Amino acid sequence: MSSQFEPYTDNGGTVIAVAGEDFVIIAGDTRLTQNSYCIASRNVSKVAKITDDIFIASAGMQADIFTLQKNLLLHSKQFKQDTGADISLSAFSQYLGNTLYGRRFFPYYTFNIVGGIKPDGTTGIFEYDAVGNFQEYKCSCAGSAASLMFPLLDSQMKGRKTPIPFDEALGLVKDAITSAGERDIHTGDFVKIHVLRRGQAPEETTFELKQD
Amino acid sequence: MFRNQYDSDVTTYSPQGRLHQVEYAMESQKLGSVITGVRSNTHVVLAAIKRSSGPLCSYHEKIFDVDSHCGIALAGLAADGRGLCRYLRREAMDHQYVYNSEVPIERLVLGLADKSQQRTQIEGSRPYGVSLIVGGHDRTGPRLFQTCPSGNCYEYYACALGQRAQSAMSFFDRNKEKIAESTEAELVRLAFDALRTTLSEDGDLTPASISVAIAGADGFKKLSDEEVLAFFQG
Repeated sequence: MSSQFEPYTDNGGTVIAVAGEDFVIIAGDTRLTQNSYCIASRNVSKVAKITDDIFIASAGMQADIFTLQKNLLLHSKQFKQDTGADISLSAFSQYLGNTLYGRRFFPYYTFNIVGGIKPDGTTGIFEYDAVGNFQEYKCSCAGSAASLMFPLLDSQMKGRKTPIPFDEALGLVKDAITSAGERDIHTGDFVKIHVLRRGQAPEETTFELKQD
Repeated sequence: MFRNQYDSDVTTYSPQGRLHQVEYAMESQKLGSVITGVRSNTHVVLAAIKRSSGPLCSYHEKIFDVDSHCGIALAGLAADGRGLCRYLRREAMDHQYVYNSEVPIERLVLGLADKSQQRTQIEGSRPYGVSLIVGGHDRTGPRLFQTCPSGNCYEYYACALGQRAQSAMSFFDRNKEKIAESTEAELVRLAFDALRTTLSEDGDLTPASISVAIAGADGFKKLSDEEVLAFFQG
């Protein structure tokens, strides 16, 4: 009847990213939950900057998210020292996939989205599973409210003939997370939105969600 | 007189109590082109003359960043210098990983000194053939160090290594009152002028052959070619 040590826990929360022609919006809520109903924190960001052109947003277990993002950051710094240039989006996305698969038999409990600008100026978003399978998309989401947000994203993004304009994309991201915050108990408090644009420094804004 | 009998490996003392192999290693920095470091109350400047083996060859890089707050200039065997640079970068990053803070420069340098010392005490290995000037800015302010193959390290307000470095040191000595209160620009100018004193009669500094890096409270930065040119013209 004794219970075995459980190495994993789900700290909840949701992340989302949308790519336009020359911008990427990547966002995540800042709520951390524990044991389903406790709020561990209202203000911990799930999104990390790797370079001015690459951001990563992760949902899942905060301990694994923190360690994974820290390792990725340091590896990217090392890449720059060794090669003299910032790591590119495609190199980073491949590296993350390899890193995750390296832990195939004791995975990082993280559901990652990488968003960024490629060296040629085009944009890309990469969606991962916990063991490193990844694929490029124009929009994605992950986390406790992903199943609520995907239908909304699909309805707006699938079948588009032209890239989504910026204001529409920002509205979509805000609406998606706000709606997620209404119905998913693990999503709420604040949202950190990062906007990456070709040739510019990334901008960060925060907006509030309900705290219930 | 007995030098030749006691200098064939690093683990043999001479009757005078000297390790000749280590002393020979320390000669290697004199072969390199000049590097200087100078420290004011707020900044550290590293400056170097880069060498190229001919007009068709690129210049050898002399200054490397180690972390966002410090960097090195090397004189001597460049390959050894690159290996030490790799070591310093890993150590600095490791410290950042474990302690979530920038490694104090003195600690970094002492680690390097200990590593150098090991090579003076093991049969079959040779000491590193490079001396480094390590400069940066940490919580204790601007710091400037020199390391050498013996495993000793020294802290300086101004130092120079390489061919004809003595003239640069004399220059710093003559101008030592100006150093502490210098502005960033004045400090760079001092480093340039020190480099100039080491040139042979027909030589001159050109922007392409100079490397400069500045460390201050906002971090360690190698100047780009355009910025070096601006200092030249200004």
